[in-house]
Amino acid sequence: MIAYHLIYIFFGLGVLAGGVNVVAQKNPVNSAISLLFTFMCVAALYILHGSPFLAMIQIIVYAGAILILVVFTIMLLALREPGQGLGKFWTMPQKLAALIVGVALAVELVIVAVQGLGSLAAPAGASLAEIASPATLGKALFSKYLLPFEVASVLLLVAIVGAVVLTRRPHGTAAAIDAPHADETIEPPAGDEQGGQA
Amino acid sequence: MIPVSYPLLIGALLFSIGAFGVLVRRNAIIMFMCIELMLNAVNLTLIGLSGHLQVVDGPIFVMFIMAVAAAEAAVGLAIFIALYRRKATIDVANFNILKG
Repeated sequence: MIAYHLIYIFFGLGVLAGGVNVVAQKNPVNSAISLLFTFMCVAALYILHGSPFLAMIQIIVYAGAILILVVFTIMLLALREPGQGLGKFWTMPQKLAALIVGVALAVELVIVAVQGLGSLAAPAGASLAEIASPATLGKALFSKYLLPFEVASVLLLVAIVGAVVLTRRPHGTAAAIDAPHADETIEPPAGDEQGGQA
Repeated sequence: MIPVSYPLLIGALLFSIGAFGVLVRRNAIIMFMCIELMLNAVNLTLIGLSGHLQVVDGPIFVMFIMAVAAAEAAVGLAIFIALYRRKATIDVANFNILKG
């Protein structure tokens, strides 16, 4: 049983370390890989809570869909200027204020969590194995939560249409509209294309 | 079994890390990733508490949060691409048209 706790703490620390790395990395691609690590650790925590179904959903939706979208966007944008990273953020007053807000939020949330623990009843089973099985979730989703379920499908449809409309080029302009500030962008190295072909 | 304090503490700390990242980073894509971190923290808290209280609402809400996160990812990243076409950067410090 002690090993169970140790495994949980191990993956919990993995979640936190991945989260810190997402914030601290200079390059967005490195942040994306750290985010993938965090998502995987969260999925492991779901399994330890007794809900492998939600862990699979987590991996499919977050690691499979959202993160791939992020990586594709990073690739499409082809940012050539080096990122800023955290740097010496404590020298900038605005970012120092952000640090203070973040630490205050953490302390506050931990205090609320610790104080609320006393008012929670003793755990009945403390495992999700029964209540988060696909059968139970499906029954709840199609009876009590039917209306939110349908609204979610409409929301996803609206998101698809919105994404298409937002990224569509104006009619009749192929490539010119993509570089309205061509003088501002840094040109790729001259040897880039030959290197790709060779 | 796992004490309910573990997911609550991990969720609280992860949410704070995400909020700090949104405040301190100026790269729009990294800010977006920090928002995903915060959503994951909320999901973890919901899972931990619904396991403790033995209610089915937590996992249901987690699934709805995932659906909303997917919609948010699609629209948000499309907005980044539209912004990049306009200004050739996604550094949010450069988008200050509304500044007085």
